[in-house]
Amino acid sequence: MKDLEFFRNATLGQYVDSPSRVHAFAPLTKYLGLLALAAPALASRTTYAALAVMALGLLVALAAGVRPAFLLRGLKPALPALALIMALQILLSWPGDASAALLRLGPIDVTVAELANSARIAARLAALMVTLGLFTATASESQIVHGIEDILAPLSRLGIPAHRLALVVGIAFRFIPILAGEAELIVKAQASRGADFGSGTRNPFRRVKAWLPVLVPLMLRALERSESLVEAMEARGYSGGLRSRLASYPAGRGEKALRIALVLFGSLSVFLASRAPSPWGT
Amino acid sequence: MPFVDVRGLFHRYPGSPVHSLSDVSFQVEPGEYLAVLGANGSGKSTLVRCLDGLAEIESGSARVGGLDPMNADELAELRARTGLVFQSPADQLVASVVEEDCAFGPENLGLPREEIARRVASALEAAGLSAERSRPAWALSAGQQQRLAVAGALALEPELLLLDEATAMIDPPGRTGFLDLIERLNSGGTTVIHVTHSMEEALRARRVLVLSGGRLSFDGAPAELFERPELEAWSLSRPASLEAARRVRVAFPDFRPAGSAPADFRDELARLARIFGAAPAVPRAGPSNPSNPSIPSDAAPVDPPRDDDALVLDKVVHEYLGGTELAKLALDGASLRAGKGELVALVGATGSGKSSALQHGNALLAPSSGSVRVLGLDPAAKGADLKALRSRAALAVQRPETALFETCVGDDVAFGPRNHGLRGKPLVERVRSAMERVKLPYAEFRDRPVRALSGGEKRRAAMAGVLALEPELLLLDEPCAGLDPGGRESALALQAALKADGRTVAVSTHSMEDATRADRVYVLEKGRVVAEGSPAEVFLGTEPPPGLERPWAAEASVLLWRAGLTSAPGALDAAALADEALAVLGAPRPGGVPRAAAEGSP
Amino acid sequence: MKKSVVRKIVVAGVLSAVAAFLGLTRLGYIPWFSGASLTVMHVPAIVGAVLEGPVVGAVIGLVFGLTSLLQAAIAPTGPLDPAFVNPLISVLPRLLVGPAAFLAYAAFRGKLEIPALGLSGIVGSLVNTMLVVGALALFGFLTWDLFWPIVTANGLPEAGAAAIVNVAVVAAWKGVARRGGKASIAAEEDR
Repeated sequence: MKDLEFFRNATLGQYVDSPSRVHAFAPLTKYLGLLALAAPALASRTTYAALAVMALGLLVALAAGVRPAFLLRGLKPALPALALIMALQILLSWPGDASAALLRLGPIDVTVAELANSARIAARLAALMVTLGLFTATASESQIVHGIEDILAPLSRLGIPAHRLALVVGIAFRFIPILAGEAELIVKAQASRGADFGSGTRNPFRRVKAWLPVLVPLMLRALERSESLVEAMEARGYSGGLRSRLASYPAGRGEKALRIALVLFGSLSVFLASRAPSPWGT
Repeated sequence: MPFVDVRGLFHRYPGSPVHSLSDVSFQVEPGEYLAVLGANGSGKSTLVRCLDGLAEIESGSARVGGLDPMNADELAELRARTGLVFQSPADQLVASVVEEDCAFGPENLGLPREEIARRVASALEAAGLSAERSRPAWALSAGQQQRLAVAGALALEPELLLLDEATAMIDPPGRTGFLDLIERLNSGGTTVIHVTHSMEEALRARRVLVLSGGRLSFDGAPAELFERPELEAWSLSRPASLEAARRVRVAFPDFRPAGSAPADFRDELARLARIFGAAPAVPRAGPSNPSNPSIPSDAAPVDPPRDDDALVLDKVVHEYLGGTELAKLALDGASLRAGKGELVALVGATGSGKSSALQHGNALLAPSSGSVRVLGLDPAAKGADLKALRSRAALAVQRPETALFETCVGDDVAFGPRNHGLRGKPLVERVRSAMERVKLPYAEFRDRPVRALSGGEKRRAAMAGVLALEPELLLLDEPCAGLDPGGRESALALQAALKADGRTVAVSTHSMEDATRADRVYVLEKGRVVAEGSPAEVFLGTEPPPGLERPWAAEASVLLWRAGLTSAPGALDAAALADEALAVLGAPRPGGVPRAAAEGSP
Repeated sequence: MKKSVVRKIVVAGVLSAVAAFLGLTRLGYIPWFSGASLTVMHVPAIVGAVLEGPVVGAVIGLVFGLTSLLQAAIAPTGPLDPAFVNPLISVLPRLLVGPAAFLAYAAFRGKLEIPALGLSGIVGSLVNTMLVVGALALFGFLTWDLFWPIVTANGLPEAGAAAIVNVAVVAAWKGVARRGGKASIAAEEDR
């Protein structure tokens, strides 16, 4: 029963270990790179802008030794979803759509704007997929956590304990595989006692009821284990205060210059993207 | 001046009517190795939590290195000088990467980076984990994770190490490595307080405390403890080494082995045998009666399946997470069988495939290749009713108590039979008899909130949930793990009773002693069956089962035979070993002994 | 149990992991009449808020939101996933789930513990549905005509499921008796 193997899906993105220059950057630099690419991809109002961001991301991926196909592998399972979006875009009529209709089929108009919008959504998705995939492929779990700490470091000077948020994320990372093990055990225990998880019934109410014996003990186990972790952390002298850190990521002059360049690039491209004409033509 | 000083300590959990610790007083000198024993719920864990400021002291006092855990200012320093290792390896790791987890303690002390790096390097070195420093912590074995937890404590450079059932969840090889590490640290001057359920581990300590119902019932040397008549009342048992020697002493009062190793028993017996002039048996030239049970994995099964077998696995291969980077062969051509009404034990290290084999037994897993037959049915056949099959072949997963989900015990036990459509009086009867069977009286426990049960009671409630299905085949995955000796004894008694009903029981275990009670033992290693046979065939062969150690009594019995004292090894438990020894010394039967000769000896 | 910063951090981390895990494995999606699955990934934020306060609830919501953003971008599965790469749709509404649930709970906790838990589940869940659907409409992924139909078809049953899970988990965790402390099997004895 493959559906009992919860480890199968319990990863978000995938770190690709490679000795590249990109991998060697400090987490802070990687976060800035992520923002510098993701922000214009999100703000892009044209297909071309999104495709340009995607191309840039793929270039960086090549430099990082990450195969472009690896980053775009999510597109294939997304195709049905994209097709549905396009269908929705085309089937529904959108207020403010004043563009020319290319095709009329009874009540359905296929307009230029609808097609452009569909293409833009697909391009934007591909651009973000590349950007975020690139980030998770080049930043390990602990770098993701350390990066949060470093980005939020200025807040600590204002008295806001930013390192705690990094610790929350670190613990969440730590617990996902643990929960996969717990869930597997719980599902197996309940299945052994005749729970069928709704596979045998078409009645959705019974399906919902069938999930309770998994969800409830999973959350209770999570809370029980968090009690143990609280004790373990307190016993090791943690009380929520400031702490030092073993890992350090000294940045050279070149990397500092790159950070400034990334901030400038990000802000500029968002500014330009937001000034581009809307596909609705308004 | 004692390093740990506890005086008149009382503790009570909020809302509880009774004290979990009552008037506990003891002192520990620097460098001591102290074991703390007691039944589940006797207050052992609470005691170490009080010492580390994790549990609030109601009255009385505790001092560690002169520091008071109830004083917030002193607590920080106390914790910087104390390492605490808990039961569950995975629950105490904070960071994803080994060296970062090890650094967590010193980071909390705010030490400079260079100092942290130095401490982490030396702590990982001491724990034998230097090679794993940049690996993900979750990818370590349970034994390695537990050594990492010790490394995390060591990085604080502690003077006191508190171990709270720290070996309960690791397999025997992992446990040996862990205990050796602790002994090295202790000989380096670290004070150790070790809470444990294992009598063998208690023997490693020079001093033992026993808690019973929150009170300190015993404080003294282990050898002295195991002579006490209250052992059973404290839910403790005598280690096989002491039990065997004690039985021999009934006839030969000066039978006193120098230590608790099987070789010490042999040497002492050889010494007495010379005095009493018993004729040594002539050792056979070749391997003695049991042949070496190791079998090549591709050979035909030693014991061919029969038609009425309750469970047959035939050359089963199972790939876990197939098609991903984590893919792993959980079973690699394993063949085994459990005849109707038999008790079969599966042994092997963590990850050897015991759990996977059991899960094929109720069709939770399907073989990638090979075939499975459960109660005469093929679960892979089209239209096989797996739900019905699972009620006839019921599995109790590892730590089944984690899957309890109803608020009240009675409802949780009823979950299985309810799923199979039972309602009304018959349902109540099922639940009642299942609960009585695990000694949770129905009237008393029906409405008891699951969360209010002790660990041992939760385990029994979960077992009742499986028994309520009234299965013909029971698949029990490590049913004794983490139980105290009393709980373990009743779990083994339950297995025997189920067998006596005519049910078939297949059980996995890390305890070779438990495995000796089975009709047949399968030894698994890396997904293959590497040895099989009766307990005598598996444990009394010329070689120990691959990758495992013999039970203590079996090891001693083999040593007696090797030394020429007996003509064949035949003992699997302390009582049988004592009989062998008595026979060597010329006492024909235990009890009917040449007492006069024994007393007349020099 | 002492209230401590360490516990807040750990509970936030662990329940965030539950939310992320339910999403990643699709365990948090329950098939439903409407075709669109019911989701329960926001329930950890509600439970966290009730147990450890609004900030913990908001942090869990934040991590849940970021996970759904990442998942939508890296491994989209549903027709609306491309919309969720917009943090104003995937993250912002989730930040408010925990605090809203906490307010509902705080208003009635104490004597009416069980109803307060149920209500906080309903409120937190509806805040999630309404804000997410509203944001989807605002950004043009849905038309406003669909707002109430979706809230009714999916939002209400999700709220019911959230209430049930919230009550079951928190009551068990805090040891609050339900059904007068009697096992339901007691009723079977008279049948």
